Amino acid sequence: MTLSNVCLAFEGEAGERIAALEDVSLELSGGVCGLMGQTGSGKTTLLEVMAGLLPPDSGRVLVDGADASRGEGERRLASSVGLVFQIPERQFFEATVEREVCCGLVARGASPGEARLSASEALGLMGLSLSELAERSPFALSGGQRRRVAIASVLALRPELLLLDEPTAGLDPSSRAACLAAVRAAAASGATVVMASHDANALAAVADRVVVLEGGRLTLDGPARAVLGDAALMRAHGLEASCAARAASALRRAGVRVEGAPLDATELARAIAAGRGRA
Amino acid sequence: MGEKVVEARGVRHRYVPGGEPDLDGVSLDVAPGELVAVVGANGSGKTTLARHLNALVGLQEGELRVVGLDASDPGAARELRRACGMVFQNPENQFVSTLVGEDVAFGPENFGASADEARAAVADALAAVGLPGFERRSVLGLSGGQQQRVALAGVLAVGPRLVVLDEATSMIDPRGRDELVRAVLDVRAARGSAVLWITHDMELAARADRVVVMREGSIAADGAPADVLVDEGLLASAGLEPPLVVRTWLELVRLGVASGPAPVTVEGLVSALCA
Repeated sequence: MTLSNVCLAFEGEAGERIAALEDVSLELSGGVCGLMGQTGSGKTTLLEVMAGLLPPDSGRVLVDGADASRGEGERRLASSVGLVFQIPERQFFEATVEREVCCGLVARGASPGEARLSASEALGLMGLSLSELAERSPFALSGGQRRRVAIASVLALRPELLLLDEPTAGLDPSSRAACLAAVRAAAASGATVVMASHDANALAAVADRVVVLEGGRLTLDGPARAVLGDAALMRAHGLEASCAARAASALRRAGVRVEGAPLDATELARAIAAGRGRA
Repeated sequence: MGEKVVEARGVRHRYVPGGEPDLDGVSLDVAPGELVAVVGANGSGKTTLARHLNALVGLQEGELRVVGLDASDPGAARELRRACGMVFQNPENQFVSTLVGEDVAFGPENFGASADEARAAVADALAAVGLPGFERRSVLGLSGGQQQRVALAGVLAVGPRLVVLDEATSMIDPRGRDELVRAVLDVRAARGSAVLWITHDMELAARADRVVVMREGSIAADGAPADVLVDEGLLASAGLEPPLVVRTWLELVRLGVASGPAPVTVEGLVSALCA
């Protein structure tokens, strides 16, 4: 997907123009791209533009070189994109987990057997079992299970472009780990993933690249380690760095040598050990 | 010490009659002014426990007193709700008015405050959470952190002795989370309210006076962060992992670079490595 000079504005209560996206250009091809920015910076709007739900006022969205707003490009986008909304479990409407996860597959023409197999695989990716949950109501599951079922129902469609809006918010550690593993698995199978998140620790675990939105403008775009591992850079963009980067920064301020840009506990420990000549 | 804010003994609860207990014999004390973090996997009973404290869930079995009020007495529910205020996960789900001042006044007015008393309580509560003068603002135009502070003000306006926060930071951005944490700590210092903070955020739990770990409806551990949050095996059995600082320290010990008890906060890590 390529976005060129995308602009989008909403109308405010008094009829004023409120810019949501300003001149956003971005090329995506494979891997996991983390999308960061404060609340209201335009992350969700950008995901909705990428998904074809919001047409930009100006600029272009291209899918494999074709304009995503019409003809072949529009069909191509519709068949290849999967968007997981924020709090996706609010969109459940089927009476059982099996029907919920299969409904998109059936709508795309899959046979009941094919749909069940894909649903089972997708739930398995999220650490859940179709045989255990098939007849349960999705509304009766725990919060973590609901979120994972909602994400599985999008993963089951095997989208080539997977867009996730704060998928880990409110999840407990094991649900969060299952979600992040599924994101990695989707990317490993060739999908391009864009994951909007405030959680620098989650992005540190999965992202290859991180882009930052501020007031609708793309103000930072770089390799995940260079962005998430630099607490001062993150702070300068109004964001919170990963725990490891913040700890490394505090240690350096206190005079402790910490090598490199550690992103997790193991890397931080090794960076401290390296600083003490004990790599 | 004064009376306990919470005294729970063998509290057991089943949502499905005859089914597995969702809360399985919980005993817990909370002292005035204490900040207690409650951690555990989804479905471990954290929210069910919290909802007992202000009578959102009725007591089925065991004993529970909140600020000395007997939770088994249906006549005490009103006072119990006054004594124990709750802030929930999603800020947008807990407002009763779109105007900040009206929303925060809802509690005091329902407990019989006059218009003047309610106005004063609202002004005090908004000041306590760092939002003085926000009465005429719309809650819809506020950031997530500001909305959660309005929700906290709504709770404070009735003068609770216990504030329960149920995953109150999980839907807001890091800036909003920091604002809410600061407001809660300020309120605790200024008013002496006890705080029960249900959270998945182990870095936040590390800042509490005590950490309670819940596992399958029971309390698996209850102690100081320095004792509870360093126990990898215990936390793993509850579907949790230690804070990053502890995991880093344990790796440093494995690498032969550090020894001794693990610190649980970044400040502790800095001190330990500079010692």
